[in-house]
Formats: sequence, C-alpha cells, structure tokens
Amino acid sequence: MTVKECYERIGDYEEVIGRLGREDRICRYLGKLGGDRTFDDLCRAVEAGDVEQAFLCAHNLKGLYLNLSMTHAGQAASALCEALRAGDPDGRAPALLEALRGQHQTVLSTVDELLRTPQEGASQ
Amino acid sequence: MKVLIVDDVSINRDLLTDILDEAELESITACDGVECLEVLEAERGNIQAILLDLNMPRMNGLTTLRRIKQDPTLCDIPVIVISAQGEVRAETQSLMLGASDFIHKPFVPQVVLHRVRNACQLFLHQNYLEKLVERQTRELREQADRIQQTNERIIDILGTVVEYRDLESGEHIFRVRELTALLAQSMIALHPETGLTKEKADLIAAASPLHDLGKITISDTILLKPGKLTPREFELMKTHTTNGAQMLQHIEGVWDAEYTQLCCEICRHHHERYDGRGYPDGLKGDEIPLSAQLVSLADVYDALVSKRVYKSAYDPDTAFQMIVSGQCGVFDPKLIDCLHDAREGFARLAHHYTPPRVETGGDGASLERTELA
Repeated sequence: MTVKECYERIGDYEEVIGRLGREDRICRYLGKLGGDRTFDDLCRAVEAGDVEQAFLCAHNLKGLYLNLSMTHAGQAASALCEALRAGDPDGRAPALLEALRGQHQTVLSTVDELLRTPQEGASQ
Repeated sequence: MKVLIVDDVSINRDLLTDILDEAELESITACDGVECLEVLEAERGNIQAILLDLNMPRMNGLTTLRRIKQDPTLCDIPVIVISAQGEVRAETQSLMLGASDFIHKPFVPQVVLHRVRNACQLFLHQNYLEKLVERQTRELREQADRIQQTNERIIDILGTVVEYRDLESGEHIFRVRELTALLAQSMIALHPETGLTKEKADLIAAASPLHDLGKITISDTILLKPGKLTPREFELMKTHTTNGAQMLQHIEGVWDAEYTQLCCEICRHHHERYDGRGYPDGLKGDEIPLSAQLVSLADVYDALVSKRVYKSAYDPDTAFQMIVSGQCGVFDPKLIDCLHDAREGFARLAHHYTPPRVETGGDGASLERTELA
C-alpha cells in the first residue's frame, strides 16, 4: 500500500503532502498513532459521564486528525467535540463516539497496513 | 536560546519539534501548563518563544498564558497559541491575554516556522533595545551627576578666589551656602505659598557662593580698607553687584539659561532691601528675587558673626537680635519667620563650621589670612 492509497481511505493525500511536504515524514507521525492513548481516555471519560474530560480528549483527537489530514475521523471527532462543548444536552455523545470509533479503527487498521508495506524510499 | 513547545498530545509535540529542528531552532517540550511553568522556572532566561496549546489537562493554555503574562520576569517572552480551526473566541481571548500570535490546526510547517522566527527576532531585538536604553540612561545619569559636581566645584572655586582676594578665609562662602540652605528649608516648610521647591532651593544654595563674584573688580584700596569707606568709595564698592552679574552674563555655554539667570540675580540683588533702600536697583518687596533675598540674609548674618578687617565678630544671639530689630536693613517678614525657625542651626554654623577643602592656593593661606587680619 502506498501513502496515497492509505489516504484515499482515511483522508486527503494532496492536503497532507502539501503541508508536511514529504511521505517519510508523514509515515513517521502515522507510526506514532498506535501509541497515542487519547482515544482510550475519551472512551473512559464518556463512559464515566465526565463531559469536561471527554471534551478535552475529543478536542485533542480533532486537532491530531486534522494535522495529519485524516478528514473523516477529524469530522467525526469535531461533531463529538461540539456536542460535548455544549455539555451534551441531547445525550448524543455515546452515538457520536460510536461513529468516531468506526473512523478511528479504520485509521488504525489502514495505517497499520501501510506501515507493514515496505516503502520505496521517500518521494515528494 | 530555546523555543518551548507545550502540548499534551505527543504527536503534536513531535511534529513541532521536527519543524523547529529542521530550521536548526533548539526546542524543549512540556505536556501541560503546570510543566510549562516548571520548565520556564528551570530554564529562566533561556526561552525565547513559547508555542502553547489551549486544551490541556491540569492547567489549560489560557490559564498558563495568564500566569506567564502576570509574571514580570516572563511576560516579555512571546507566546504563540496553537489551537483547532473555528475557535474564534479562544483566539480573541488569547490575544487579549497577551499572546503574540495565533496558529490554527491543521498547521502548515512553513507558517509555524516563520511565525516563530518573527516572534523570536522581535523578542531578541526588544531585549537588546531595552538593555541599550537602560545602559544609556545609567551613563547619562552618571554624566549628569559628574557635570553637576564639576559645576559646584567651579562655583566654589570662583567664590573662593574672590574670598581670598578679600583676605577672607574662604569659609564665608561655604557658611553662606549652608545658611542659605537652612533658610530655604524653613521657607519651604513655613511659606509654601512662595512656590519654592526642594530642587530650586538646592540650586540657590549651590549658586550662593558666587554672590560676591563682582568684588574681583574692586581695587584693593577699597576692598581692603580697614576703616569706613568714603561716599565715593562706597559707590564704587556697590558696583560689585552689577559687575558680578555682568561677568556671569558673559560666561556662555557652561550653564543653562535658568541657572545663569539664578546666579545673576543673586549677584545683582543680594544687597537689595525689602523697603527699597538697598542697591543697586532699589527694588522693593517681592520685586527682589527670592533667591537674592535668601542669600542676602545669610550673607548679613555671616558678616555679623565673622571678624572682618573693619569690625570684630558678634555672637550669634546679638547677630540674630540686630537683624530682627532692623539694624541691618529691612527684610521680608516671611524671611524673618525663617530666621526664627532656623535660629539654632544658624548659631551652630556660626560656632562650628569646617569648610570642605578647596584647592585654590597654598595650604597656609588660611593661617596667613588670620595673621594678616
């Protein structure tokens, strides 16, 4: 799998290469995604009804996805983030979290597949 | 100098570190506001800019920003806030709290880099300018002090030259300066309506040694005559007031206009009397400049308590009574108030006064004068 093919599933290749410039750099950050615990923290906070902590996590995830141009996960995180910012008056947070979980898992499995594919040197 | 990166998401910290690293800008990271303040403490003076995330656990970005801006030792460090797009309120708040710039996520590395560089350059330039101004201000103050000291020395020397010519010891002018200062101090306390300030009083006292400068133009036969002067001689003697003022007016480029004016009025008018019977202009009442009135009373008092070629010394009580009873001419009642107020200080000065050493001639001059007198 190429970085471009990876981004066809999870976001916007043109945008990410435009900003970060090089595929090796993009791969380096993608490699760190697996170690990031923000999504787990988010799940725990939603489960515990800790809206404030949940908002913090959703906000961080939104920033993270957007910085790596993972558009779909970014939009899902943004929707959850906005619901939580308002204090989740309609109780939509759990459903939005499930939508985000789907995107998050897609990101992780796609990135995993990409990183297991030997890359042919860095290209622009 | 380092850039401090504050973000609770490690991938963001790595991203920013890489961006700065590639531009050879050294960085250090903190994972929340609390750690940010700890790093700032540990790296005091070594941080040239801060990249600050807003949403963080323990202490968020806005609170951290507020703390930084409230600390006088940190408040000048430029803070660039980084937060997600669409956070208009956060952007406004950050800028209001003193953030220098705001960057939206997803950020473009080149933009981050340029903004950090701009902030650092401004910070370093501002620091440089502040240090420069501080140093120059200090140098100016030192120079002003030196000029002031030199100025006072020159006045003392000029005054002393005249004194020696007069075969006085040189103590007279120093005592007149101290007496003038005491009177002026009382005037500020008792008669604030005169508008006399501490600064003006200091200038008057510093200029007072010049009051008899014009005596340098009076011939020895008159100046040193032991007996009473003839009317003709007295007329000539009186010209020391106008001559002194004239000499001072010819000295250019040493003192500013205000100071020259002050010296001139003291020289010219220190023999005027409140009732208009003094000389050279017969000024009356408040027509006589306050500076000249102060020096005038100090001069008369000191003349009374000193031994002169034409008279012996009176004791301080007698001198005080002679002035108060009007035997030495009429003075402004306000000035007489001040004399009452300063009476003890005056008596102390009459008895014990050691003048500062002014090197205008041989060390034996004082002794020689005493013998001559």
